[in-house]
Amino acid sequence: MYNDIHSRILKEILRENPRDIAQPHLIVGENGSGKTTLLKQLGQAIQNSSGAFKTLMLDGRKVFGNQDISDALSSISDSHKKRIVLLLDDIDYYLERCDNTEQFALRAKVMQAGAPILIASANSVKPQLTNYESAFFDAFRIHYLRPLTSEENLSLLPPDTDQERAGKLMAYLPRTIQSVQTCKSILEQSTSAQQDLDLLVQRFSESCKMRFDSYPHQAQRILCALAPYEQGLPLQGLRESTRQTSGQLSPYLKLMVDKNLLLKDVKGLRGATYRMSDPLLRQWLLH
Amino acid sequence: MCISNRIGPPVEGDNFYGRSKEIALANRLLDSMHSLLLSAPRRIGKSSLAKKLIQEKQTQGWTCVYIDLEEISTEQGFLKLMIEALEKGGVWKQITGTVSQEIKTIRERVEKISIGPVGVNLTPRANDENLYNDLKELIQHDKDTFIVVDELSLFLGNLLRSDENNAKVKFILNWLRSLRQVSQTKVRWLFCGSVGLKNFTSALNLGYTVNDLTEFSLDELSREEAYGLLSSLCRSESIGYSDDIIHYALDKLYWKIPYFIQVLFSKLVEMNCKDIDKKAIDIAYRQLCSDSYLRTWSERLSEYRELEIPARKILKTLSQKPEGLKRDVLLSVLMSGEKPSQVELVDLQLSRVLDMLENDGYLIKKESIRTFRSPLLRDYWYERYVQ
Repeated sequence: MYNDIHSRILKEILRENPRDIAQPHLIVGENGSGKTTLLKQLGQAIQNSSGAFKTLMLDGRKVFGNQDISDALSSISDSHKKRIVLLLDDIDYYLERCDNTEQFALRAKVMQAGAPILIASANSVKPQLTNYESAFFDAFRIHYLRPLTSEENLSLLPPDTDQERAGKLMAYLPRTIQSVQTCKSILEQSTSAQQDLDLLVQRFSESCKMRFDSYPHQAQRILCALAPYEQGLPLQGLRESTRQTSGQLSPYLKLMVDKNLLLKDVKGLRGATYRMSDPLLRQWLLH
Repeated sequence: MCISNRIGPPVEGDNFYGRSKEIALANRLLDSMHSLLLSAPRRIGKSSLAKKLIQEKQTQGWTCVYIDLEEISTEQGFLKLMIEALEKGGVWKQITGTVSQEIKTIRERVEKISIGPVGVNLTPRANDENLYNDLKELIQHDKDTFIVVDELSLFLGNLLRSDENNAKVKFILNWLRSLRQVSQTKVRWLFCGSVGLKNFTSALNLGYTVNDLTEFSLDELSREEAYGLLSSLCRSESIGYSDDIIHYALDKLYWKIPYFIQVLFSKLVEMNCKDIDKKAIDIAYRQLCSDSYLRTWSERLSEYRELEIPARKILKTLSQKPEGLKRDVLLSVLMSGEKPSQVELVDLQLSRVLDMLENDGYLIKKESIRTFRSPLLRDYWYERYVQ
């Protein structure tokens, strides 16, 4: 999948006619999925494949407006008039910081014959890309970095890795390259399967706490009630456990399901069962 | 010819206009012992066509029955409606005391089908099968009979929600097939609905239950028929018109389904037009875009359940882009705010939604572009949900 996106974008870039308006590309993937690495590798491959291009990598965290982009482009002086490929990592920052007018100006700049070719990365598809009035509506060809499969996860680990332990750890983590590295690091440190989980929870304790603290108290109460139950609880069980009424619980349950904090399983005649969607947060609450 | 403008319910009798080719084809197929499957978008005139066919077959001396399953969501409801309709239509074998008693017994057995929570049937399966077999035995197969079943897929979809392993749905489809397979039967069937029965059964690996049906399609009226309908309506209300004006109206509607022609005409009547001109057509069209006539297209989306929100997002976006959009842009619209890891799920959701919106006549796919099928519907949507 990673290689597919790499070769697809590379092929399209190398096919671009220097005098035409180029197609901008956007790579979308979760944190840790390998977007930055992919951009760097693309930049390297483009420059190595063809003498017609020069690449410029920009860190979106440091871009506060079009002027930052212009300054960076000006810093590349090229007497051979190579076409510039602008690799803008984390374009999310730019889209949040700059208003629509400024974004329209950037779009106008890149949508010209011979203009820099834009390849960007983002953590998600923002409304700034999908709202009809937005500057970048229907501007990018979007490539999604899909989660790694279990087989892909395990194939990235050293051959002598305990696959069973690795598989159990990966069940708590998003299926990204960064997660594989986390898993590898824990297995190197840990001496037993039980300790694996302890180390994992310890490593993510800070971020779990921050997330938990950010939730309303009622949501925290619900999460604490559900944590001991891997299969979840029906509403009646939650009422008993929290000593709250349905009226007090239901609005939060709906919200938490909508926000994907909880999963709602509707099977059989006994009504829905609610369970925590994040197994790592659940373990943190149990530790 | 004087026709009345009937909006909403199926049109019957003299108010039915056009569709001569479709009627002729359907009659030929029915006469040569085919049973038919008609899937077409909502509001295109399926039920009206079915009723016209019934009218024609009745004049030929056929026994005819019309069964509408739109409001039915339980097996008990289905059986009761089937029995009532078949009885009213005179489909039973010659009624003797024994047959009459059998029908009464069957009715009692249907009443005893227990409805648990959420429509679950708690009675043993064997009793149900006997009931269906007994019903099947009562149907007369040796005289020309035409049975129309409207919205079967909709009913089965409703039933599916309480039918965990699809057993009931499978049973009913197989039962209906067995009725069609009776040796030398003269009973022909027409299944019509807005949800594609073939797609529905195929998704459940039950495609074999309908593979004996001949597919039959219905789309917009021909230019000639559309012209004929609108001009007849004008004459029926003594409203003056010219050829150019009729063509102008039809061009504006673009998708020439009877319903849209009827609602536009209805607007012109409301405006008390004595003679229609382009200005009147434009005003009527604009008023339709902000009026309640087309509200049903929005209300119907509640039937999409968990797919209603994605459907609305897509329609809202497309209403702003008359030229249409490619699939990957629509995917990005649905992916907005979602985790990238959800892309496969969302992609599947998109496929389902687009299928439904195309089947229901909201959208059309031309090469790789999706657009609103009707400019009127698109402009209504823009007016209602974007402006």
